[in-house]
This record gives sequence, structure tokens and C-alpha cells, in this order.
Amino acid sequence: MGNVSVSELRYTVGPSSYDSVGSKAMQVKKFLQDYFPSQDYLRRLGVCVFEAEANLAIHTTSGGDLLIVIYNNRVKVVAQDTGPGIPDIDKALTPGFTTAPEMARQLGFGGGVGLNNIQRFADSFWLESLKRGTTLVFEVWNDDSTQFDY
Amino acid sequence: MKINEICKIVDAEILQSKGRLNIDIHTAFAADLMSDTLFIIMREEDPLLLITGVTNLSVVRTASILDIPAVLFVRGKNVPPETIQLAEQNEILLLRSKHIMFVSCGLLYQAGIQGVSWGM
Amino acid sequence: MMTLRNLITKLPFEVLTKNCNLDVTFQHVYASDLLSNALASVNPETAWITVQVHQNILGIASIKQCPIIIFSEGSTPEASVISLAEEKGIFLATSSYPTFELSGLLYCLLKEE
Repeated sequence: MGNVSVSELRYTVGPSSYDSVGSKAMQVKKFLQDYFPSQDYLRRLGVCVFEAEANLAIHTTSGGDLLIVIYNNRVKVVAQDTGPGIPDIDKALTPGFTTAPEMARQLGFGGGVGLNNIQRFADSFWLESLKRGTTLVFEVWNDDSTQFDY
Repeated sequence: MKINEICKIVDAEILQSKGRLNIDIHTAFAADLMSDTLFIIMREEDPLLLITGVTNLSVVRTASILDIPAVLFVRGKNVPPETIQLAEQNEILLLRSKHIMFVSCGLLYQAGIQGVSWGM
Repeated sequence: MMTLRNLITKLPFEVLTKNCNLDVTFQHVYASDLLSNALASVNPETAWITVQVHQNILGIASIKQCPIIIFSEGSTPEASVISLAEEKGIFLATSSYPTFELSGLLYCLLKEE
């Protein structure tokens, strides 16, 4: 039941696109209203997508791609970019640590807890990073018993 | 506490009034950093006031993701028209006070608004 | 106006810096996580509330001679930042309260003084 995806959404996030951070997350949340009625679930997912989107906008050389895979009981998000890579993943996962540029920090980004927020709200979390690119995959499961059926 | 009362307490004007004008607000959260705000997930359907000094579009989007119905900008900052427009489209009320964040929080706290329980 | 000594008895902070002068006084409090805002606004009479924990905050506090930084939301800087603050005579403490509540409590306290 749980392994056939029902739908997919794809977005491209441009580098330094501070003005649009959160726009994809909002679209995803709106799209999923018909699939998952739980507002609590949509917020958790929305937060994770927002943070993944913000990371692509703030920390990549050329932006990246967001793939949202919708199953009937969960959503999987794959965020991929082509560099510059995370030099120290342990540091990156330390709350408060940020490498966000000054410009980003003046706009309210760079709190240093983006990845931590995803870890907190997602049910699975996988991060791999090389100089040639970073891939982040996470899933947010819907605990609500009223799952939709397809 | 109604929106109008909040405005009186912190000397705020309503910049964008399309939205849930009649709500009763009991809790507030203050932050300039979006990630800190995103950490707060309302457990019940309890309307929250977001207090911030950042006035860009991402603030409205953050509020939208979290279903926050009202944002109070502090420090009398200039709010770009795009921010107001996006808030209107998403029915998020925007208020602005000339007071700094510390004073705005202080006045509201004194008047009975509570903080969100935040746990890491 | 309030002394640091008085402040730490009234609110549940965890004091991070050792051997700081607790007779330092402050009259104003500024809450901001945006460094350029803080740079423009803090001064020798200010206690600064923020969640920002990286070393830059000490540069700002130093330039403006702001003697006190209080971290909210349980934010805690690394040991190296704490040592540097001790060298510069800047008092650091952390509180588990979020900025709203911390500001509220401090606001009410200052009014009583």
C-alpha cells in the first residue's frame, strides 16, 4: 500500500533567490490540502520543505532542485544541488552554526537551525555531501488514521 | 485579546486588514530569524501573533506555512508593498508598531499575552 | 536602571562567563537577532537579548561597549566565544525562555526599579 507514489512535484530553486524563499513550500502545502487534511501534518511538512528550499537558495552556487514525492501515507522530499558541498556535516548539524552570507542574515536567515528543524519534524533524514553537490532526503509520515485511499 | 486592543497597547497601525480580524490572541512569539519561528508549531488551533523586525516576503510565507494569522512588525520599519500584497493574498494581518521589539513584547506581556512554550 | 547582580537573582539565567563585574548597570534592553540592527542600537547602558551565538556578536558588543548579552531560547555559544567574552569583560548568560517572554519579564522588572 505504501510504496506506490501517487503524485510528484518538481521545483527549481535559484541561488541567492532570497525574495522567493518559502514560495515553493507554500505551493506544496496548498497542493497537499486535498491529500492530507491534517493541518498539523501540513505544517510539519511545510516547515521541512521551507528549510530545504531556504538551504538551496542560501548555500548553493547554482541553486538546486526539489522533488516532492507524494505517497498515500507520507511525503518524501529530495533536495539536490551541484555544490559547493558541506565541508563539515557535523558542524552543519550543530544548532546555531551557520555559513550563511551576511546578506542572508540581514534578511532573517542564517539562524543555523534549518537542518535541525528538518531533523526534528521529519520521520527520516538522510544527508550526503560532496564538493560536486549535496543531496538531502527526508520523509514526513502522516500519523492521521484518515489516510486517503487510491 | 482582539487585534484592535493589541494595536492600542503597542501603538500599532494595521497595514493589511484582509484576514481574521476578529480573532482572540493569547500567545505571541518574537523572532527576527525565520528558522526560530519555524521551530514553533502550534499544537492547538490557537491563534498566535508573530512579532518581528524583518519585513520581507519570507516572513509572510513563514506565517502562512504555520497558519499564523497576524504579524506585528516592530521598530517602525518600512514594509515593502510586495509584502503587504502577499499578506493580502494569503489573508495574513499585518500590524506595525513604532516601538522596538523589547518594548512591544514588554507591553503585550504586561497586558496578559503569553509566550509560546518552546522546547528544544 | 538595574545591576547585573540584581538581575541574576531575579530571573533564572545560567551565567556563562566567569568573574564578570556584577555591579555593571543597565537601563535599556534591546532584543534583536539582526546584527546590523544591534550595531546601530546597543550601547554601554544596554542589555542585548538575542539567539545569535557566533563570535560576531562580541565584535558588536565590543565596539558599542555593550556590557551584557543574554541569549534566549536556550541558545548557548561555543566555549571559545565564552572565553573571548570573558577576556573582553562582556557578561554572557542564557535563558530557556523565548525572546517574547524574556523581554516581558525583564520589562516588568525594569519598571519596578
